[in-house]
Amino acid sequence: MKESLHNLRNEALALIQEARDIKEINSLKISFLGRKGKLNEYTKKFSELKKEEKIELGQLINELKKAIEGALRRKERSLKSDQPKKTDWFDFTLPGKRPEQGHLHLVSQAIAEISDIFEKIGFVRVRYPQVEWDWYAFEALNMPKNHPARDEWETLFIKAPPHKKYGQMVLTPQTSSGQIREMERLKKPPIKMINIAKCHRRQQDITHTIMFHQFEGLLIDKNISIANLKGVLDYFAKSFYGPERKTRLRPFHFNFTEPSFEVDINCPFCLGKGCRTCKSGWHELGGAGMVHPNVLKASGFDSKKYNGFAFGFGVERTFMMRSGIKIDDLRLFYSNDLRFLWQF
Amino acid sequence: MNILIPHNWLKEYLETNASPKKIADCLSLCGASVEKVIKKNSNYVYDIEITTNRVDMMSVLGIARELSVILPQFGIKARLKKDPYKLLDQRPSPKYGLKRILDLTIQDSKICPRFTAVVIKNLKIKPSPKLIQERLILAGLRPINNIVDLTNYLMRELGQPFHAFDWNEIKKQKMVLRLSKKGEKITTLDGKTFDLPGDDIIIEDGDKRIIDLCGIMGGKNSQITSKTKSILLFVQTYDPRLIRKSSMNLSQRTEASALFEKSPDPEMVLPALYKGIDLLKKNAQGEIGSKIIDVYNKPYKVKNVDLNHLLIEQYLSFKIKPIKVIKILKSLGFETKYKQSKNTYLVSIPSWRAKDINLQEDLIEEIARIYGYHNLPSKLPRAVVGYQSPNKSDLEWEKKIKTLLKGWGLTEIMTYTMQSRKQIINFNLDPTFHLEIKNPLIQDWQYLRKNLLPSILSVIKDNLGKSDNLKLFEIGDVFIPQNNNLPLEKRKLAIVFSKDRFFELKGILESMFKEIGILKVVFKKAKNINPSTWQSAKTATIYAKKNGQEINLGKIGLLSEVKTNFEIKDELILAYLNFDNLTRLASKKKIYQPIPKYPALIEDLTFTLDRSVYYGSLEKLILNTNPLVKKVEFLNKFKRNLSLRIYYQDSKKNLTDKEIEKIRKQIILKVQRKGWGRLLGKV
Repeated sequence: MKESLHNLRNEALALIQEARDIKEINSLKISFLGRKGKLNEYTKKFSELKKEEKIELGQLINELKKAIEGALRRKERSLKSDQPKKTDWFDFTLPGKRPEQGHLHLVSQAIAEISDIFEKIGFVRVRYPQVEWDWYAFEALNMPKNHPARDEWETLFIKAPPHKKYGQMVLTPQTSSGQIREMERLKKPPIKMINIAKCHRRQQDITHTIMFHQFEGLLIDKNISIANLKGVLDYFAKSFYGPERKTRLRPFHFNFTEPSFEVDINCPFCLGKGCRTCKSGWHELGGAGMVHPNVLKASGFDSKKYNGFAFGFGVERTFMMRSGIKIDDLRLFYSNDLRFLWQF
Repeated sequence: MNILIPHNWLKEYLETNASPKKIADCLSLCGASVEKVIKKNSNYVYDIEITTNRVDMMSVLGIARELSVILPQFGIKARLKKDPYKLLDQRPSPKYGLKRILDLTIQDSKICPRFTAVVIKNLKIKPSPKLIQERLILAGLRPINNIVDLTNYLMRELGQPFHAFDWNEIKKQKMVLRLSKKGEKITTLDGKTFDLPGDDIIIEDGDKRIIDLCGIMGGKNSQITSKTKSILLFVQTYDPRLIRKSSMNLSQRTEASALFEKSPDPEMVLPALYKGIDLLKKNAQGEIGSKIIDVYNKPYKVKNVDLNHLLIEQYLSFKIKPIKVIKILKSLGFETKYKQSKNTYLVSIPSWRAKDINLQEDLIEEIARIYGYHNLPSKLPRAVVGYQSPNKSDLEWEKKIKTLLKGWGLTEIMTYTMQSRKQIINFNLDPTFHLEIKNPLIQDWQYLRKNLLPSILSVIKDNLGKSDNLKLFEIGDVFIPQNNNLPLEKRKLAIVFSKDRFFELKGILESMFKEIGILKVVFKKAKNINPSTWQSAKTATIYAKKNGQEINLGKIGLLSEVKTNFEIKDELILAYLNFDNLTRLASKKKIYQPIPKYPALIEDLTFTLDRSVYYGSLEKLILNTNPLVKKVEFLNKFKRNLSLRIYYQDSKKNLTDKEIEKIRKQIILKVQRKGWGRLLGKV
C-alpha cells in the first residue's frame, strides 16, 4: 500500500510539472483530489484496515494530499504569471543606456593586433628613431649612393649639418633602419625583431600619404631558409586574416635583401582562384627577403656564419586588405575627420 | 617601371604555344609581375612591372628570354628565337670603303661608355608599315613616321633607346659630347625650352648649337622632318646617375631616360644599331652612308662568381641536384662549371646581368625563383630568443592608456608629424627652434613639430560643427633639436575637450593616474605660461611626487586667444602631458590593505571659506589632524560654502561619537586659526 502511494505521488508530481495550462491543472486536481479522485480510492479502503494501519496510512495520505495541493498551487501560479497582461506591455526595442563610446584610431587598432600576433611567435617589439642618419636609413642597408630613394624627390631631408660618419639627417622612409639599430644593440644573433613605426616619403596622393606606418620583421640566426620566412608570413596571414588565408612570394628587388620578394595574400572571396574583385586571385601585401650579406657586414655580423630574413609591410595597407574595409583614399587615415574615426 | 608588351610581338622572339593567361601567371610567379592582360581585338597586351635592377627585362626580347626559361618549369615548351647577341657574329664587318664623316669629340668617356652612330642616306619619309604601327599603338606609343617609329619600336623590342638626327642639321658635321654649363639652353623635340642646371650630358654641333639633351630627348633644331633625306642613327649608353639627375631636375621624364638611368647593357648597343640599319633599309629604302662609328673604351670582361652548393640547399631548405642547378643557370645565360671536390660552382655572368649579379646570394635568387618560390615549403623558425625589448614598459603603458581613454569615451586622432610655419606661429611658438625639412613637399609640412597642439587645433577647426561634445586625444612624437645630433624624440599625450569642462577632464586624468599606479599627484597653479596661449587663471601644472621630488607631468588648462588664430570660437580645455614621464613613473605595484573589521563613522561638514582657500589644502589639513581620519571626500561647493564628507575609522575598535567629537573640534579650530573660514551651522 505504501509503495503504491509512493508511486501515486511521483505520478501526480510529474503530471503537474508537465501541465501546460490552467485547464490541465483543473483536470489534474479533479483526477487526484476530487470526490472520485485517486486519493479518495485509498480512503475508501480504510474500513478494511487495522487501527494502527489506519493511523499510519491516514498520515501518509494527508501528506500526499498537501504535496499535490502545493504542487498544483505553484504550477497554477507560474502558469498565470506567464499569461500576458494588458498592463505590463514592455518596449524592449528602445535603445539601452550605453556608456559613452570611444574610438581608437584604425592604425592603433591594427598595430595592437599585429604586435600581438608576432609577439606570440617570439618576435620582440622595439621602437627606433624616425629622424635618422643616412647610414641607418640607406648606407648600411646596401642602398647605392645614386639609388632613387636617396634623392630629394623621394626622401625628406632635414636642414642640419651632416654627421661626419653617418651622413645626412633624414626622415626615415622605411622601418628597415631599425634592422641596423637592432643589430647594433644586440651585437650578436639570435635576433627576432618586430619594429613598428612611422615612416615618411615625399609623396601624397590617393594611394600614398607622406606619413605612414610600417611593421618590420627581422630574424637573424644560423641556417635560416626561405621556408622559415614563408612559415612566419603564413602564420601572420592566418592570424590576421583568417585560417583559410595564405601568402605567396614573388620575385622582386630590394637592395637590402637577396633574394627579394613581394608578398601576396590570397583574395578573401575566391581564395586565390581569381574572381571579379581580385582578377588574379592575389593581393599585394608588402616586401620581404633574405637579409643581404652586405647589411650583415655593415653591422659587424659574420655573413658566412649567420643569415636571416626581413619583411616590411605598410600597416594601413595591411589593414585595408581585410574584407569590408575598402577605403578608397588613403589620405582619410590622417584627415582626422570624426565621421571617419567614429566608424571604427 | 611598367611596360606594355603585345603578345604577337613577344611571339616574334618566343616560340611557344602557351596561352596569354598562362604566360601572365607563370611570369608573375617566377619573373616579373604581370599586372594586367589587356585584350584588344584579336590581340593581347601584357602590362608588366619590372624592378629597377632588371633593365635587361624591360623589352620584348628580355621578357621572351625570361619566358623561355620559366615556361618549361611549368611543363610548357618554349624557346628563344633571333637572339641579337648571337646574331652579332654573323654580321659582316663594317664597310671600310666608306669614310668616317663625323668629326666627334667625347669630353669624357665616363659620361658615355659606348658611342655608336652611322649615317643612313636616301631615305623616304613616310608612315611605317601597318604591323609596326599596330604594335606601337598596343605598346602605348604613338606612330609618327617610319624614322621616328623605328627608334621607338627598337627601344621597346630591345630595351635600348635610339635617336635619329637630321644629318643636314648637324652643322659642319661636327659633334662635341660634353657636360652642360649652368644656364645653357635647349629646346627639345616636344617644344619645351630648358635652362640647364649644369652637368647635363649634351651635344653641341659645329655651329655651337646644342642639338641633344642626351639620353632624355633630342633637340628640336635637328629633328626628323618630312624633308629629311639623311639621318645620323645614334645608339649610346650614358652615365646613369647623370641621366637621372638631369631628367629629375628638369622634370623631363621619358622612356629613354628611364632606361638609361638603369644602366642598359653596352654589349647590346652594336647589335641594336645593326637591327636599326636593317629596318631602315627595309622600311625607308635607306642606304648606309658612312662607316659605323663605335667608341667603346672598356668592353665587357666576363665576370665570375663562386657559388656554394650547400648554401643553395640551406636557402631552399631541401636537397637539389647539381645538374638541376646547372640547367637553370645555363638557361638564363650563365655558363656554369661544377667542382665536385669542393661542391661549388664557378658561374660566368652574361653581360646583360653584369650590373645585377655580384654575389652567390644573387645566383641563389635566380635558382630559387626559377624553381618557384611557391614550390618551397613553409616552416616556422625557432620560437624563443630570450631577451626583452628595451621599449617593453613604454609599449605596454601606451597600449593600456590608449585602451583606458577609449573606454572613457575619447576618440584617438593621429596627425602628421610636420607642421607649417603658420601653424607654429599661430600657436605663439617660434619656427626658428624647429627642425626644418630641406625639401618639403608642400609648405604645410615644412617643420618637424615640437608641440602636438598646433596640429590638434587644426583638427578641431576642421571638425567644427560636427559635434558639440568633442573628446579627442593623441599620443604622438615631437622633435627637439640638439646640437650635432639627432633630435630628441619625445612623446606627448594631448587630450582636448570642447567647452569649459575642467573637472571632467581633470577626472579623466585622475582616473588614468590611478589606473597606471601614479598615486601621488598634485595640481598647482601654473607659472610662467604665455597668457595668450593659456588662460592663466584656469591653468595648472601637474606634478607627481616621488622620493620627495616633484616631477612635472604636464599641464591642464583652458586655451586663451590662441584659439582664435585657428578660427575656433568655443572654449577648449586641454591637457598636455609628458608621456615619457608618465610611463617612467607608472607602476604595476599593488598594495593590499586588510579589510577593516570595524565600520567607519561618517559625517558631512560644510565650511564657509575665504575666497582663496584651495580645497586641496583643506583636505590635507583635515587628513593631518588625526590618524583616525581615514578619508575626506568632496561633496559639493556652492558659492563659498563647501561640503565634504569625513570617514573616521579605527582598525582595533568601534569609534564612539565622543571620540570623533574631539577630532571634529580640532579640525574646526585649525581652519579658523588659519583664517580659512568657519563651519556652517553648529557642531
